[in-house]
Amino acid sequence: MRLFRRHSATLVLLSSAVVLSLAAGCATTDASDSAPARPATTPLPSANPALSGTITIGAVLPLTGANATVGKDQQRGIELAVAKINAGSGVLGRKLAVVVEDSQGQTTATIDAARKLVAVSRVPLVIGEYASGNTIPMQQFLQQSSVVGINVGSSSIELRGTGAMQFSTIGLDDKAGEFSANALYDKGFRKVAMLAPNNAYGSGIARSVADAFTGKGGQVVASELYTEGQPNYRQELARLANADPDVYVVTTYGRDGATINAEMFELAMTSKPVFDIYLSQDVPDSDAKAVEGRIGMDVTSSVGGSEYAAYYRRTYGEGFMTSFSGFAYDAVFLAALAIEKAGAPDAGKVAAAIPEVAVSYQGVTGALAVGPDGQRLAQPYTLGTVRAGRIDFS
Amino acid sequence: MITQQVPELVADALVRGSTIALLAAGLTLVYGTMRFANVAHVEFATVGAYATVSLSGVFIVPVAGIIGAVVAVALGAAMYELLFRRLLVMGEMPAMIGSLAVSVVIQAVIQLAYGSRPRVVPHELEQVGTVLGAQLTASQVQLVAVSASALALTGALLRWTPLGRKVRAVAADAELARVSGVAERRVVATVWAIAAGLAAISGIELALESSTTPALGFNLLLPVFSAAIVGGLGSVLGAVIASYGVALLEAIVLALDFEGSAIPVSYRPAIGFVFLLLALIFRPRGLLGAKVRIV
Repeated sequence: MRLFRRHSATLVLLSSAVVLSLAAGCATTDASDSAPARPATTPLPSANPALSGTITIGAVLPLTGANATVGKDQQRGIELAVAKINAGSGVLGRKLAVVVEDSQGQTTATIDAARKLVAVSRVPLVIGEYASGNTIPMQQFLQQSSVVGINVGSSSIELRGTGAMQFSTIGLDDKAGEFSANALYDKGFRKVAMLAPNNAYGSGIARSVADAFTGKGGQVVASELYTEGQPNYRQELARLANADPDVYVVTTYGRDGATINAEMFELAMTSKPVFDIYLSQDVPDSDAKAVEGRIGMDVTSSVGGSEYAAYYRRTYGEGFMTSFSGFAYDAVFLAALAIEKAGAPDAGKVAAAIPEVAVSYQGVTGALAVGPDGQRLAQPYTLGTVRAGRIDFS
Repeated sequence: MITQQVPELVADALVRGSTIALLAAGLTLVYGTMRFANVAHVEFATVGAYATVSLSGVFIVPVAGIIGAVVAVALGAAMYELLFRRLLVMGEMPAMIGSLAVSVVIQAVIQLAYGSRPRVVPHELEQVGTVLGAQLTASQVQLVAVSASALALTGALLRWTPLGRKVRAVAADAELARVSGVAERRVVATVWAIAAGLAAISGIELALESSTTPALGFNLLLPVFSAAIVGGLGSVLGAVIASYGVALLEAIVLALDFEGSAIPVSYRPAIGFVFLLLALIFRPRGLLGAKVRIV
């Protein structure tokens, strides 16, 4: 170590070696991200020049952190909607703008972002987030601040209680659980073993599926909640395997999802059917070999024909990254319609207008009508199979 | 009643304990020589893992791994020389807070450069085989073997080489070592390099086993600290025993079947911390943190 003492130049050299080797990786990884030559993309439609002035709303999305893929897709949904609205007649003759803040996928940062939107940008309405554990406290905060909230990605049933000015354009877990339980039962499975993350979302969906499945006469032979961020999940998975079910029912996301999927393959658990609740949460980040042939369900980003899917593909040169862009897209339209109906970007009036415009509004994710609790009444889900690493919903 | 076979329990403990042991050994080694708990220690694992992921496109995985470890070692030595040596002059608290800051900065830089989506070292997924009655993949066997060798090598280095003697001298009494002619600064810098290297191996193993995220190392902060504390801060052997021991105890407790109902797996971290509390109550200096400090 004498060299450190005598030659600070060596030190500088070593440090730059560190930086260089990391930088080398960035270059290669960036290249691999955009490796397949993408088809030419069409720019977003330009704004109608007749519009003057701006109406601003906000969004809090997980642009970084474990759920960054979903966050980016949600942002795309918002971009597409804003461009379309502004290319038409705008909102109240003005341009619509959405200020997007990063939640980092963390609760504190989510609230900080929402606070900034409320206090600094003074928006009447905030769209977001994705994880139930973040959306619930964010909507509670928005409610206290008398600002409208639209949930576009979370599905915990606790969202029913966040307040009168809070809404969802996505169906909650009791609906997803019921759909999954029916699909499992219809496919002839009678004994299921379930794995879900240990958080508001995971425990909620596990309970919803279990209730609906046992209600139909099926049996839940194991139900485990895993702690996120563990180096491996051998023992959690061993419990499921020991229960000897007909089918493994899993719902995971991020790095943990990739790890769990790989380990299920390694432990030869994939020789039994695997049913994945919300396929697009974990399949895109997983090793293709580990998830091949997996069945499952997801929300769908475009039910009413493929016009939205084509608009998305035209703009970004690829198909949907996840199933979540459509809900953000619908939320922006719903917000725009409600502001139009309210006659002003006033939070109280907008909150009153949302149920009225939602009743008859057919979004790209289906009918958006909300119940008295502000939650979406009907949510179309779809079944899919993973083929060659991609989710096939046909 | 135990629901899992003994070989399975041991295999779980070995796979899980290995990555923790490598990190805890380095953490405790640095603590032993500097009396300062380096929160940023776990980031060497993240840096090693990301360097390997980046270079795996250029070199074959083992070569990428070795370069990845070298990168972490260089970072470790540089961090000591440029930062912590100076911070420690101000005291342990500023140094520890400083290390927390470094940890956050490293995560932020990695996130900025690589994004937050998980990244993987390209490798073929393989199915398990039966090894001594336990279900293990070849790469898991490799992981356990590599960790054990690295730990054994470190142990031998500390025990039987002149450098090891100097490290132990500095750990026992830095002042005395200095007046006896031991070049303390050089010894400590070497300790940092070794610790960073061990951490990098752990990070690379994790990257191979699952994938990397900027929080790869940070997620392990609590288990690593608790292993180092249970083992007796400053004792490498203690930290290694505690890492494998706590992993085994967790596995056993989770495998217990109380007439049809078992402890939910979501309580796994809590089980580890119950052992930490018990250890702090009954052996406040840790398993091997006895009168004579064994480094």
